[in-house]
Amino acid sequence: MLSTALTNPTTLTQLELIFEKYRQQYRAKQPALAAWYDTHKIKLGDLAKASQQFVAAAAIAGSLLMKQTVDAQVAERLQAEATQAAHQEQLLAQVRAEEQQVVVEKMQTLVKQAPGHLAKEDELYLEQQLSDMLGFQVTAELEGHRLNHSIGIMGGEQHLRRFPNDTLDQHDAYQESGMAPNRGAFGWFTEGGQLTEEAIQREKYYFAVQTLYLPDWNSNHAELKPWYKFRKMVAVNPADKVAVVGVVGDAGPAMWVQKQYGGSPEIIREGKIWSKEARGRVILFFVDDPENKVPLGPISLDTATQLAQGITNE
Amino acid sequence: MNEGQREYLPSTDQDSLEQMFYYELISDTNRQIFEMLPAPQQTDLLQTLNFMAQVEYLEVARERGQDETQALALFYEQYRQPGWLAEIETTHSGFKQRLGQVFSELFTEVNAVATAA
Repeated sequence: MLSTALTNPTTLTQLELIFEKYRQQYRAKQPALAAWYDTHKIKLGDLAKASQQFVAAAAIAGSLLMKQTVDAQVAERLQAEATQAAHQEQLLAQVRAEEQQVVVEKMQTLVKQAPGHLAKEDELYLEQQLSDMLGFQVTAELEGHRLNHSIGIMGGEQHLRRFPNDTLDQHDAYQESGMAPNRGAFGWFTEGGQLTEEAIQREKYYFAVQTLYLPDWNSNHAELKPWYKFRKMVAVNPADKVAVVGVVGDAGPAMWVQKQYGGSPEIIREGKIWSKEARGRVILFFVDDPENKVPLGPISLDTATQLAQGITNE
Repeated sequence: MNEGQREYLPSTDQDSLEQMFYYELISDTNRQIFEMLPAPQQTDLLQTLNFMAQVEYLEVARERGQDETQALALFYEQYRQPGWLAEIETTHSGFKQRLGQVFSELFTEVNAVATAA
């Protein structure tokens, strides 16, 4: 009843006037902040992006502009925007790197927990932070599907046969890892009988996950298997600040192995999964990539180092 | 608007709402009022509330002698931490009450318009 009445245009206008009145009150308290929002047409609610960008813009002018006169603010901003665009990018990157370091340190602590799931609050925090950091959406639960562990230990697997007559010498890297005698639990990697580039990449970066121990696997196998087949996931090794995007390509390892995941030779090596610091401990999340735009392979999370290298190289 | 036509907020807005509710800056009653609004007005209201919180927080940073640039940069992160309000209260007792009060005043006006409709 009430919600229906609230679609009345007059009522909506009245509501907008109330919101605007309060915004005006607060704009008066921080005019420089408000002006900056206007200039950059930032949604007021988009605080994560807005606050970072505001820092960069403010820093260009030498200091926060709020204490200065309006004329001085405009003059300094115009001058700064004309001459210091590169400096702005550098400052912005530095702020992001500092924020990223905080997230990585938190992950380094969380990944040492017993295998299982994170507390809900930590899980939501990491989902959001990792999505921001990686530039694509990651989540512990996707379309109602969730593995038994989002934190665990990843063991090294062998190469998998991509097609019936595949041999180890046809795999271009890490042949010392050997090749499993049987095909992966989700079938051949080839597509329509062709060894496509995507098929090659999938075998290079495959995960083994314990679908066989999912509580509804036996009763709902027919639906679950195609959903998990080549499902894109990301393993994060916070100790070495590296993540690897891969696909579900095999089931396992067995419970008695006391590891929760397996990784292809490429994932283990390039993700530094068994470095002295990591010792196999990873966070494994789904990648929400309905348009298949996220490429497989390793991603460095060490932007602080990249930034330092960039400054050194200038 | 019946349930079948219900519009849902973007996840960032929903997250923001939950955070304010968690901090008890929005009461149960006011949340009910909020949820009766159409989605665009919900978003608009949330953005207004967020802006007010951000401005108030900058006041605290300034009074503490903190670098305002850093304070603003870290606002979003800190705002998401469970102890955000408690930490502010260590030096600015009454901050939560003040912010909650102005939120409440805004909701009172919204409720008046909604019930008159």
